Amino acid sequence: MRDFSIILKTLLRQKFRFQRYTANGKKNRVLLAFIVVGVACLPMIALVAYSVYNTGLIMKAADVVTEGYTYLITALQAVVLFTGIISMLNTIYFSKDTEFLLPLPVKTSSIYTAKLVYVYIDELITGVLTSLLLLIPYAIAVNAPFFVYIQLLLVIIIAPMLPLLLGAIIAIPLMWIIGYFKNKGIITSVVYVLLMGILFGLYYYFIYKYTGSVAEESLPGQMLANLIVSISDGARAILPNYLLAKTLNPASFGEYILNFLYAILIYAALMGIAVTISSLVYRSTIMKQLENPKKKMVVKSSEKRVGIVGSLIKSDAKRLFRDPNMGTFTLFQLVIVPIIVVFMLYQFSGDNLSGVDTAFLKPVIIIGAVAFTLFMGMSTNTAATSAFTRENRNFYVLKTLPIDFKNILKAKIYLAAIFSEITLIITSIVVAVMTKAEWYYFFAMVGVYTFLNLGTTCVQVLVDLARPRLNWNTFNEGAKNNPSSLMSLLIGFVMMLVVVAIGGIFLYPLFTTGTLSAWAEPVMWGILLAISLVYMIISYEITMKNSQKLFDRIEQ
Amino acid sequence: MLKIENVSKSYAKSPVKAVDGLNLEVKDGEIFGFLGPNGAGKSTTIKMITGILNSDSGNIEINGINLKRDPIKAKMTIGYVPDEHNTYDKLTGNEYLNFMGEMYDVPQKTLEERKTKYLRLFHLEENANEQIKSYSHGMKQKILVIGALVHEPKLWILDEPLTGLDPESAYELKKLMREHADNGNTVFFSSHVIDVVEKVCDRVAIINHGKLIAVDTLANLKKDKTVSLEKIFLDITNENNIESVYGSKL
Repeated sequence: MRDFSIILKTLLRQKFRFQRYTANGKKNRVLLAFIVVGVACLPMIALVAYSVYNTGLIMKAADVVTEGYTYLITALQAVVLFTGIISMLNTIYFSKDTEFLLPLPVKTSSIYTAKLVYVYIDELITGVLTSLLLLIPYAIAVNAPFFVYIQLLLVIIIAPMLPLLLGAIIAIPLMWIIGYFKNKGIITSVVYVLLMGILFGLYYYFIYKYTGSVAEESLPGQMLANLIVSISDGARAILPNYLLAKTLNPASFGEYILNFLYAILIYAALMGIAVTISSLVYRSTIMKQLENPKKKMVVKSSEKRVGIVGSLIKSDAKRLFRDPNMGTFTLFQLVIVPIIVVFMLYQFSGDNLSGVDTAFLKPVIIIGAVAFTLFMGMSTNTAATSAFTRENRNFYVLKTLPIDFKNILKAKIYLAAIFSEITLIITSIVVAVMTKAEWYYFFAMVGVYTFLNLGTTCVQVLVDLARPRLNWNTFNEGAKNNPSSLMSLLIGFVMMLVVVAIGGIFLYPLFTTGTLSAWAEPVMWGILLAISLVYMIISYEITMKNSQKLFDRIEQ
Repeated sequence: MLKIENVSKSYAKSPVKAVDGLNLEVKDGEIFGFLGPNGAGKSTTIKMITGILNSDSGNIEINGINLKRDPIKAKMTIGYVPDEHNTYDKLTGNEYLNFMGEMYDVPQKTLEERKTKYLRLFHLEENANEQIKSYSHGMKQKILVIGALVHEPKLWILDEPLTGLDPESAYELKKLMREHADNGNTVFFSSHVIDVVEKVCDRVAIINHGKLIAVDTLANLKKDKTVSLEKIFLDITNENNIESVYGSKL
């Protein structure tokens, strides 16, 4: 217990210690970056909160308040699972402090538990922020009494445990498989990403299975009745959350106590099982990660020459993918963005919404998918690929190369753009196929994506050079310690708003008259293409012009 | 005292043994140099001694304690200076040493005395309250050395300890290693700097392809006084020359 608390204290210090000034004496602006991104995201936050509030009103009218709480707790857990499993794998299994901690005279179970609790505390922040967005507006909408807000605090503390424990269990086979493929270069990252893809695919399938199939009848009254039954059954299927939700909407004090105790018991039992199993295999699992097998392999002594930029891209890509952490994050969007888009489109498809004609909404759905994909595509892998600062000590090696800086710059931009582009093309195919769109949609989407992608990558490179932070080794560190990666999020968000705004202007008549004039869509796509092209040219020129002096300035 | 008996280690699916049937005994009061070319198995051996990796077979005994049977008790008597600085760099030097003191259960008063002594010795007093991330490479190395010494370990293991140290600190470290051994403790260190090994070590082991190919005192290894340890090392690690150079000792 003593060792556990010392390690936990140290991990928390390492994580949360704020430095007022950076190493080169400048004021640390990470907090400011968080505030800027937070303020910029306010409209979206307000939109989500407002939607949840309205859902609350509907749930109350349909008398399924508890079920609503259940889904919101599950949604909160989904967010924690998404961010938590990544954080968990980085902290517990891929962490560089493992070699430092293992020689210390402490039990491995103390190290494991301290790290698990550390991830939990870290994810608690995500849980609190998500609950502010989901649970509070819902509680207001259903007219919850004061004690519910107190109980919400307990729910927020308890709820993130479930996804983390699920993550702890999932991590075991994941790490064994990764261990099996270890030192097989890109295969490790690909296997890892595919496993994550399967995990998230199953997760979304589970959620949509219960919330997606609305009704088979076309009569509105029957649809509503079926919907309520479906919501009710689905909520009960997630028992621990349903019990927790019942504590927020109890019929009596006795029922509150009973459900709370049940919930605590189930959570404690699950926690006990998960921690016991995973701490037992923790030591052997991390040792597999630390091993560095020598193997006999046929190595090509010469490779086809691809020019300076090509060679820089090739070596950067190899380094990226041979590092499971960075490789995974680079490939992650390739899997996760299409998966989410598939489920989003499925929600709006005619097959799912029986009796509801969604054909007329096709242009809106496409624009929505484009906007969402841009946001995800522009903001998910940027810290891993485009950042010069990812180079760390290699950064100085780049400085010593006897080549024109523009070549180094182009290599960085092209590598990052290529991977985002693959995601965007895959998603364009998904959107075109699922919406049965005409062929020109596909080319228009790819065009808009390509121009915006290249332009944005340039801006990201420039932002990274303007505020360089060299000391980060994992994607998590990059995302949390480097303000530049937060700016990527902001850029992605702005991009999404621009597409939505232009789409909104041209597609608005659909909502009022149900029809569009023949020229509306071609003109809309034409304008989107033109704006994207201009954006790309301007950002490329600005980046090419200003990067060298920023590059030279670093650590002079 | 360190005793390694028949220790072998293969990494997953690898046909090559990283360490192959290693036998070694390092006595109290000795500075023991562990030499070998890159990829010879030095780091794997050190990782097994410090409990970072498990051996596939064989036994490791540290100060009479079996590492597999009682790892925590064994580790309590080890101080380890790794070759990489993967530590908590947002802690200050002082906080890091307090952390190490707590881990090894060093009484507060003793910890303060040792901290003062070593921080002064390595000229780190003024930087002790700065975060480690702001330290230079050499300063990081020094704080790791101090961290490994705060509990005055019976067995002090150093992996490439002199890298990045300024001449004065390197001298102080070598002096400290000697003092530590003279106080009846064991110092086990690996290095590529053969000149240092030659000056500091009482005995030397040379490992290649995971196998121990020579272990002896410097005097015995250098039968011919005019030949440097560097020459012996190069000759021994060149497989074709082993027999001719070391002959009957193998």
